[in-house]
Amino acid sequence: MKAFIISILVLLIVTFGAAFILKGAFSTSADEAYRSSTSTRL
Amino acid sequence: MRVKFISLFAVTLGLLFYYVGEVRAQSSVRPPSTAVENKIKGNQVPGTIRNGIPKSDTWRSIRKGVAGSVSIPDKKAAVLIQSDGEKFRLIRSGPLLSNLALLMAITLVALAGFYAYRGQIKVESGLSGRTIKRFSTIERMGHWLMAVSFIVLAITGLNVTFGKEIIMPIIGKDLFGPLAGFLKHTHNYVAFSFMLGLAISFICWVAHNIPNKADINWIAKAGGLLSKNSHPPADKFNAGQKLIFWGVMLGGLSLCFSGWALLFPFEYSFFTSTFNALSSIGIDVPAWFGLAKPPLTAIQEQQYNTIWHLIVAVLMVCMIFAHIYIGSIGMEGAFDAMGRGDVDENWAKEHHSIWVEKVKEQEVPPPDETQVQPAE
Repeated sequence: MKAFIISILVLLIVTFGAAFILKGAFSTSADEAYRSSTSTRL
Repeated sequence: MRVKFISLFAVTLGLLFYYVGEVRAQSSVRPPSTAVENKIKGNQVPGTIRNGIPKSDTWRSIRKGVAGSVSIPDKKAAVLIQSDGEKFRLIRSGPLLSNLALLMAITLVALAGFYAYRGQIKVESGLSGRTIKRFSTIERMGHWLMAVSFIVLAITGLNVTFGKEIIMPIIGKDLFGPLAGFLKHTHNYVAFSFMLGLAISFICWVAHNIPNKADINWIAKAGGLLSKNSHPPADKFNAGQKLIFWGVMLGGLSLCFSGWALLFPFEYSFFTSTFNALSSIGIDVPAWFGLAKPPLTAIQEQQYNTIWHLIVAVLMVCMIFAHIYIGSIGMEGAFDAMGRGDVDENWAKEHHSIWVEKVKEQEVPPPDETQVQPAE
């Protein structure tokens, strides 16, 4: 039971940590993919 | 009066015709006076545009997905019509989904059939009441981290794949839209917990999952699963568990790579690298399956990642169905290994006899402590 509770805590920490850190990365990637496909950069 | 009216009408009509004629002349697509007329020679198609290549051939090439050249950063734009997209759509939305759904259904039916035939596999010598430590806290933590995250990923991923056909008609578009969006984000971020669980489990168990001779005997006897009083010897993990371990590790790693490429689209060319590596040892995967030859375009990479991620994920789901079954209702005492961390000694002797012997040997205290001193 102790191992299960620890694993749930780790899961929450890692998941929300990834969401906090990578949210910008995803949006940047998506924006860049959209921008580069629709316009010419000078 | 009538003559004046008719004359005015005729002049007006004439001016109108003249005006229309002028407009038509100005908007004419007739070539300018400086244009050079192309003369048809033999079977040449008229309308050469560059380097003597007929327009029809050019458009035919574009239709087949030939890349041109662009000056913008997005080199994908060089392909005007990506013909593989239609093939991808037909596979992705066609037989692939129904076959994968069928595979999961067959797995569940087969497990139900096996349960009906064999029932719960009991500890035949009965529970001893003595326990033996099977998994440490870190081992179980890694397992549950991987397990819980995999279940979340499976549910959210299957919603991406089948939700539109199954869930949306039940709960409606208004609710399904935001729900599917939330689940998609959940899928993206829980993936990192799965990666961590996968890494911990690999480190903890890889040494115990190297195949050995006992595995051949175990497989030959089907692990004793099909008949009573059959308990082929096994170490800490039997051959079936080793298959699950390597299936989860290799499948999970493959899901990590393809998922990463889906999270950051058009930035990686994993399939080109893989196909080239396999080709160097004589395995020509594109030729076997009629796929495009490397180097693949960025769009093709994404399409292959999408399909591969789906296929591997469903295969793993089927494998985990079997794992969950045998670790819960399928075998008496099996859940305790991951639940409490220790198992009944008789259970361990029946299913992992080699491992029990090793544990007992380690538990034996040094000989000098056990020697009985003679009375003086």
